[in-house]
Amino acid sequence: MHNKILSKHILRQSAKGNWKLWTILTGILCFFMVVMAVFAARDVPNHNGRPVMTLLDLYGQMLSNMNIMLIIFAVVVGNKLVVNEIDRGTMSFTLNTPTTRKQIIFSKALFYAGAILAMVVMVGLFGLISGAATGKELPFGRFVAMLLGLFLYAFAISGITFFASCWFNKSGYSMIISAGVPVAFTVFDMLSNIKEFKFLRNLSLNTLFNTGKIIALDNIFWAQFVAMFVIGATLYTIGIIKFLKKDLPL
Amino acid sequence: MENVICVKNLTKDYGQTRGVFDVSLEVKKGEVFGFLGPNGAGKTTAIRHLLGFSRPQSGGAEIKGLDCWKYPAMAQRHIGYISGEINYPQNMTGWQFIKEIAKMRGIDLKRAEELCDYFQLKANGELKRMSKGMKQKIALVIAFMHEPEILILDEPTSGLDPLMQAKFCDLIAAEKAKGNTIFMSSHMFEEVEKTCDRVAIIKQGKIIASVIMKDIEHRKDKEFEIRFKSKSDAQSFAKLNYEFTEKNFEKSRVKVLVNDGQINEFLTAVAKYKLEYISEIKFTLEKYFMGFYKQEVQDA
Ligand SMILES: Nc1ncnc2c1ncn2[C@@H]1O[C@H](COP(=O)(O)OP(=O)(O)OP(=O)(O)O)[C@@H](O)[C@H]1O
Ligand SMILES: [Mg+2]
Repeated sequence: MHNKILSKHILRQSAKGNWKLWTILTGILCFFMVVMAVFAARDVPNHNGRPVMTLLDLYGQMLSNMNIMLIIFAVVVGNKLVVNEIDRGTMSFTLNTPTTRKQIIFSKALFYAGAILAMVVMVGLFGLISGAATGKELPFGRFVAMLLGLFLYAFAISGITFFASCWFNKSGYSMIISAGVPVAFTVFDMLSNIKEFKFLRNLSLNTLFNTGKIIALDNIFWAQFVAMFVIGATLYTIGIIKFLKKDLPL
Repeated sequence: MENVICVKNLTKDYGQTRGVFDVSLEVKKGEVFGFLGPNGAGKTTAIRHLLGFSRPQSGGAEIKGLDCWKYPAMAQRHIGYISGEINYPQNMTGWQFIKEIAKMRGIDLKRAEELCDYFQLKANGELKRMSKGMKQKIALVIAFMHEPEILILDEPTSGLDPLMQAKFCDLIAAEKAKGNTIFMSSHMFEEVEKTCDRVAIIKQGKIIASVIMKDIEHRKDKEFEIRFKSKSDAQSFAKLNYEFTEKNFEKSRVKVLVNDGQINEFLTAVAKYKLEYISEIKFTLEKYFMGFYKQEVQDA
């Protein structure tokens, strides 16, 4: 009984508290997948009988611009799951049941990463269906690799939020870190287009999710995938350990 | 009898004499233990260690022989807890929240319903729209509804009206009668007096006194206030060989401590004078502890 690592109650509560935001953000992403498919089918000019922009290109562009939806989900839900319950003090009720700290944090981590994975899977399904419906060619392997990259990028970003949410007892601090860091990455990414600021590329996580490299089957993307996974997994692990060891002001 | 709660040399130093320092205390099965002290004295800090929320710097706390930090979940299933700062999840009704916690504990709602009735609580409103007293009642229902054998209550009656405070005291008495153990912090002397068997006072993180309530109730020294008809009577009486705690000749009044053994002789002596009145000054916990509280103000 005490050795169980997950609590079905925590999983259920997490789903109940966050399904609306998940549905809205996933809906927006899926909507854009459909738009891209329709757009590609109609308007992209042909060049020697071949489209200049394939559907895969369009999906790639769309996903690297719209990953903000995943960031929003990660930041809002990540803070809500852990630090908000500590800062408000509501976790004291949860802990005054047979539920352990371990079950709480593992269930929350699983829900969190799982919800992000589900979001990406949903987007993938919509991408495939829209592609098929509009009769466009979509290289399956590379599309899946792109989705995997998107998930790993969101996983790494969620790792930052999860870490901050577990590390701090004050929602404010956690919010600043978890929202500030992804915003900084995006700013670095934009600035790095200017020659003088090219070095900023190396400081941004966004660099690791490069749809162009995936489409071009540049093998560097595997290394980038591994890097994102390691970053995410490390941050989740540190967050979990901190939560298990720290004093809770409840 | 066995110790249910056992705190040994517990220390948690937050700096500037804040925290708890070398605190030791024991609560036996079926005992009601009161924890008193001025604001910021360390009551909540000590309680957080009992719940396994805080890790001791040195020393430790045990509940039913299990270390609170290492095995919090084992202890938690025997505990009903009321936090000193109660907050609820948003967008829920009180009853929904009670049901949620009951589900997590795997219990039915029979006792919860009884407790709602007992405290005259209608729990079906939105939690965030509830008054302080109603929120406190929800916390009471949640803490008591699984019939825990140990209750750890941090200022359990804050926000309750006098009628509900009285009901709370009755509930504590009933829990004690069932053999359950209660540890509660409080700022209300009256409620502690009514409910507790033993009381400890904590100041600046250190336990500076502890008292068995029976000793206060059955004190052999009683204090009397006597007002004489005339100033000269008061002055003459004050020359007698008693332990006077106050002589106020302007008001022809004295206060005197009399042991139960001297009482007849004392009454005979008093009878020789013309009195306005005589009354016993009840020795209360408040009086006993006010000395310690006041010093706080002087120190600061
Ligand atoms: N996590 C912490 N970090 C630093 N200081 C703390 C921490 N927790 C409590 N303190 C300090 O320790 C002291 C004791 O606080 P505690 O909450 O235990 O007092 P209390 O006896 O419960 O007071 P009250 O009657 O006001 O509830 C306070 O000065 C408080 O500011
Ligand atoms: Mg307190």
